[in-house]
Amino acid sequence: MREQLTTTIQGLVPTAGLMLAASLLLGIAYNSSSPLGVRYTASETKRVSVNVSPPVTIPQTGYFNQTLSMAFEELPGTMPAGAQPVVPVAPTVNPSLAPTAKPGFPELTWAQVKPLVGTSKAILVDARLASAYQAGHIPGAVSLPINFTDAEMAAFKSTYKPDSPLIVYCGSASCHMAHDLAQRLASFHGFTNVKVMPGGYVEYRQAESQTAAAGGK
Amino acid sequence: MKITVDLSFKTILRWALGFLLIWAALSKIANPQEFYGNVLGYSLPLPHFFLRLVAVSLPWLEILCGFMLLSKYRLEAALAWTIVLCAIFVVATGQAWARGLEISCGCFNLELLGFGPAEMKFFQSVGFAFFRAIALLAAACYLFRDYVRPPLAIAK
Repeated sequence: MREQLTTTIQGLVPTAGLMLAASLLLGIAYNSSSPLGVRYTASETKRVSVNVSPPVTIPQTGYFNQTLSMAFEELPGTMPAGAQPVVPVAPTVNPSLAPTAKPGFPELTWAQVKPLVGTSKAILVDARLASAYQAGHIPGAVSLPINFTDAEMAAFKSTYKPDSPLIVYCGSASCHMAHDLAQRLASFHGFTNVKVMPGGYVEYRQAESQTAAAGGK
Repeated sequence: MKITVDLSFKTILRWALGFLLIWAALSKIANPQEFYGNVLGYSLPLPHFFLRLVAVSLPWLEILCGFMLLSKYRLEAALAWTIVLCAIFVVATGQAWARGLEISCGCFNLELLGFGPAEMKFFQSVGFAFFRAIALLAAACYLFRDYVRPPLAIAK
């Protein structure tokens, strides 16, 4: 009986091995050719320079204007000579942004997040992989991919205090990286003020294109 | 010419398992980065190199198994891999559930079924995924035992 079973399993090994090899080849070929594929190289480590560099200190009395900071960073030389850094503004409470009663993390829509970002009252965190972030992201968002390294998390934690107001987003409503990253930030890294924008980048793009279309009429 | 269709329990179970695997694979292949994120969300004590390899190859292994189950081509090997995959899913979802991780299993794209956020949250929870993986593992074991039984039965 045992010999028969061993023979049966041994008979499966060549086919099973071929299946595994075919899966690997197909997966690597597909992911290499797809713009949103998972790259099987170390190139993802380049994101460190994109994410949180240069380090930004959040003032004790308010919130740093991450949006404008990123804009200056992307357009070197456009900042007028003698321009002063963005002055932190005191946070005001928007009643419509009260956390929802759902279990887990409070969820916000882009309509709720937009005024926060515009007045620098929140830090948008892009949970997608670095390649997706580089392909396009919400202005002012910082990249902390779900596959962050220890060094990246250390840099993030040195930049943002545990009570920093973080709003995590990813691709779209069908994407769960935002919730997963929020869970990891809250459970394993001590961040206490974490919210999620479940609509993600797609919601932002749709809302902004509608706004642009309405403004063009 | 008379075409007969075998609609036995075994056949229907094989088809169901095959379609489920293909559905699960297509959900992952449609957005590989999202699936990679789901894999990382399990916080498994494994190097990122290995997890990336899993995220790249696992959906294609699922789709191969699914088509082989439907076509009955090299059925024993397909069932053996299905058992291995389901066992991995049981362990991964079980440990995540036991640790209280509020993550999505990343198994199926349920948007096609028109579920609302509450249903999506339930059906994609690791607790539900754990029991679903056990059911799929049981089905795969049953089919493997049934299809591979003849040579073993002869030995008796």
